[in-house]
Amino acid sequence: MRKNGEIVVGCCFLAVAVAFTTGAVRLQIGGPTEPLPGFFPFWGGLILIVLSLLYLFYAWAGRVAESPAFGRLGGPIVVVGTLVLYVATLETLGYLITTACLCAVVMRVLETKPWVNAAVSLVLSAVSYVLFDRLLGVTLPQGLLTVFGA
Amino acid sequence: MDFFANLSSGFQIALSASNLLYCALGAILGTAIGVLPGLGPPATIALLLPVTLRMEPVSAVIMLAGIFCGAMYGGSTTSILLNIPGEAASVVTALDGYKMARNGRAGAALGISALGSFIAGTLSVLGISLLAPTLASFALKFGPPEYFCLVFLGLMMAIYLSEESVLKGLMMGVLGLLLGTIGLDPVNGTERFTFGLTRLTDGVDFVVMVMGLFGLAEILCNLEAPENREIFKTALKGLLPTLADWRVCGPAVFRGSLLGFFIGVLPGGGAIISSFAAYAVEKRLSRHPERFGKGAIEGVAAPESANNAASTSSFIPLLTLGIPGNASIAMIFVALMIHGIRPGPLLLQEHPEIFWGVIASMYVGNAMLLGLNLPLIGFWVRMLKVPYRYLAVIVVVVCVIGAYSVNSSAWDVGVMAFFGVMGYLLRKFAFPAAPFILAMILGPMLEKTLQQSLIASGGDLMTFLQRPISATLLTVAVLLMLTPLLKGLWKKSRSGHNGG
Repeated sequence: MRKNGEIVVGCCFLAVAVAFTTGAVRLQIGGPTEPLPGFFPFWGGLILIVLSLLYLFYAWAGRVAESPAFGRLGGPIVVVGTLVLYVATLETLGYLITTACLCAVVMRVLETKPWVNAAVSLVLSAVSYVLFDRLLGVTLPQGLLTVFGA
Repeated sequence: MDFFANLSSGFQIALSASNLLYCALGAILGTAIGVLPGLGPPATIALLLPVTLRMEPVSAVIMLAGIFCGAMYGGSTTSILLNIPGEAASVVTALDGYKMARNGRAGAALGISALGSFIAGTLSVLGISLLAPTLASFALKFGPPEYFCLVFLGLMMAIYLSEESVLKGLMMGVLGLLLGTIGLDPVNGTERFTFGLTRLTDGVDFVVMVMGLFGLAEILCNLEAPENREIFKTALKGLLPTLADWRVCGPAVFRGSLLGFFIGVLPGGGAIISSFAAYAVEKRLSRHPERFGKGAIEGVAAPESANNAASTSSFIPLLTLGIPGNASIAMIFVALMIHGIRPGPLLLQEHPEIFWGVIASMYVGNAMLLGLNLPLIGFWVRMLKVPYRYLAVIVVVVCVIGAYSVNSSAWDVGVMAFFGVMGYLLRKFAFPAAPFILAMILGPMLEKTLQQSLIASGGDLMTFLQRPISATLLTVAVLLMLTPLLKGLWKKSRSGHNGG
């Protein structure tokens, strides 16, 4: 299982390296006398390809040093999914609503009692809005609040 | 005499009412976040960097220096009281510090940690004041080949000294270099890998990336496991070490400071390696090495002094050569760049107020930590008792606001989330983040100096070996990279001899 994970990671590195190398070729590489915009990423990509292949070989041979094991993956997956939704709705729904929801999800994952969860999420969202938007001058998206002329 | 005049002008800047306030605020905020397990100095600086974006450059850097010192100090507190190092440099402190706490001497451990750090910081500031101007004037003679080799050596040191394997460090370093090419080409100004998105023209926003890579990734890692944190319940009394303690700790603090200072100056060197080295030296010199690991106070004094001296002296390569030696200093490098100030040999001539202001503020920051944090230790301990779920949700909100505030754009929150996931996965597969961060920052400089060197020499790669300084730097870098290979060969040949 772990070995498969290492191989997937190695493949990701390899894919990134190949993407940069081919992109660099499109940008034109030039040569040592006249290096063009693709010169540096091309050689960087090529080196990463070699390193990734070496890593893949070690992973396949089971010679990669052991790394920390995964715990319960549910929590991180739920929070990352919520963050994606958060980014998609932040501008339209506004900071207060989306942030309260995000806090509620994070605290739910960390097994907080429902009423504590609701109270802390609402208070934290409101306090951070007042602190950063009103006092520190960071413009946070108002979203639905504009309907109420806030 | 110039030295004293310059330093006193630095103190005038650092001791102005507003800068003093920023420094104090930075030290307290830095400690508050640094105290949280897992959030070390780079994460702390990343989380608080957006706060400094609207300030005057000098004030911003002074506050960041305070945050940096505070975060280092906060990390030691969790090591001693919780046996959870807030950052890697405090790992060694936990060995004897936690044992001291269990033996009822938590106060003395925290006290010697703060006092040792203060003394080391003071000595280190003195060292910087003497050494930095000389190094800056020497660096003015550097041409592109020397700079290329210096940056290359810095990267190689960061990779070599990273905790994980050299192969993983190299992969992360090269990945950082490649991601650093996104945006405008530093020589021709051609757009690269932007996919036509204007948001990517200036490259990946560093502040946003680091917030994800350190702040969010830390939270994601902690979401995996249920809360499992025991605060050692002990009365915090006797913060000042006894005379007997000082007799043992005095030389340890001095040796730790000296060792930390010189290790911190090296590109890629810094607090982590210096604390380990200082602990090893003390153990070797001790008449009772068997006490180490069982609550020896010099086992706390030496690494704490060393890591603080190194943190301070790691400003030398930043301020004089424009090369950040570690991830925390890289964050301060970015803050300077955001304020339109380019660290390097010309900084002393163009912005002496920044140069001497930062040096003086490091000293003021250390003094403040001593004055503010020793009485506040009880408060930091109470803060650690706050359930993790509340701390986690606050960190998430700070990350989100911090990322959004950079360009007032939800896109940046998405980028932060992306790097959060990436940071989480990289931790799970034990890939070090420091070489990646340094490579991303130093990549454009590496590329520019490489191209300039090649164009000036008509494409002759031997130009790097024909100049004595660049040849020396390059040789050291290559030797560093070959060390693991040579070690392996040596081990094989030894086992072959033994077997045969």
